[in-house]
Amino acid sequence: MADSTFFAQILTPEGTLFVGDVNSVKVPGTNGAFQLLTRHAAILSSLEPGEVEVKQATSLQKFSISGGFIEMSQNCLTLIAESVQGQ
Amino acid sequence: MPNLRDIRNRITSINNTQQITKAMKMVAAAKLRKAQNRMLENRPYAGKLRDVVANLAASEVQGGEAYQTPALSPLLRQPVQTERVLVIVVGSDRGLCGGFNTNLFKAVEQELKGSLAEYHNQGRVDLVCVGRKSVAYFKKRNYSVTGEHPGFFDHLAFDTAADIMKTASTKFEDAVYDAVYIAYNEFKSVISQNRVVEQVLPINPDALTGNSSGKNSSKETGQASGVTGKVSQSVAQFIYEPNPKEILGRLLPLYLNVQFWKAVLESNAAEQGARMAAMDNATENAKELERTLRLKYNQARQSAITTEISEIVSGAAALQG
Repeated sequence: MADSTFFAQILTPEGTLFVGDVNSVKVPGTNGAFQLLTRHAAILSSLEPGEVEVKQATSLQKFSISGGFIEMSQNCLTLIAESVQGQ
Repeated sequence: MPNLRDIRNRITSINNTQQITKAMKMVAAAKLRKAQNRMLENRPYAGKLRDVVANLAASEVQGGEAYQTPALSPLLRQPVQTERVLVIVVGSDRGLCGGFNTNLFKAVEQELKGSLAEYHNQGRVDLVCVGRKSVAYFKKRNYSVTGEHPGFFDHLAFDTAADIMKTASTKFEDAVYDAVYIAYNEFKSVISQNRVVEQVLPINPDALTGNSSGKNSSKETGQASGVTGKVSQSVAQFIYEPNPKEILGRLLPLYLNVQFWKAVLESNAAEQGARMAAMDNATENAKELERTLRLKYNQARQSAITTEISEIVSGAAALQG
């Protein structure tokens, strides 16, 4: 199973919100929402205000963001959010 | 002969002062710790953001020179001639922190009379003051203060900082200002601060692409990669959504906000550090003062006793005789 996970982190100006290995991440992209799985092609996208869903093997976490960016390269995902409310 | 009671009163009052300064020092130490943590928490974010900007800048899609053109983003405007200058001064809200504010304000004034003298003399420099102390200082001296944010550090939040920078960058886009500077105290160590007056707009393209040997940038990316660990800096062929231009258009304001936020956090930590040092000094001085007063008091007391004894002795001698 280790194969289907990848490293993800969510960064905000006031701290690192999430770090860990995940199965998938769903984000509200500017061109529409999309989901990133392991070995996604290198991508840099801006995000709209909306909900981010982080899926791990046993849990699902949700974050509301007010916009930001997502970058994924070499199976490493980084989400930089301007501000995040709750989970 | 100094009055015994007067000295005693002074000793008590100095003792009280000492207690206050000691307490303030400890409060500052606690706040410093918090401020330092916030600074550290911001680092991965700031570092990553810089990486992304550098990545975009270096990407083939952008094609070197083209990326510097203002067409991509009005924030990349490189004014031919500087008409009006904005300086954002980040001071503190509270005093009792030694030369923290005074030194910074002096550095700003020096800058205004030095490299910015040309604009200053013609009244083409505006100031935005952050923190009660800087508002008070610059308004009293009749500088053109266009924005004031007293009490900024009471509720330190990224949003409020972003608002200040947004106002400044919008004015830069609208060509109201052609250059924007930030003046703040850089946190060097707990007991020392660096006064920094740095230019944030127009954006230096070299700084973005990471070509510069800027000490700050290298320090921060180093920190960031330590945290992110697995993220390596490669110029892989990225998919840009929706397109590089739009991403850059959104990224740059954020980049500026973060730059300002960083300055604010540094200044906040530096302030607490400065206060801690100042209060430590004050406590030491009070101790010293108390010691000398105590000596004086004992001397006075001794001489008072001596006089009393000799009076009694001479009185007894007179009776006997």
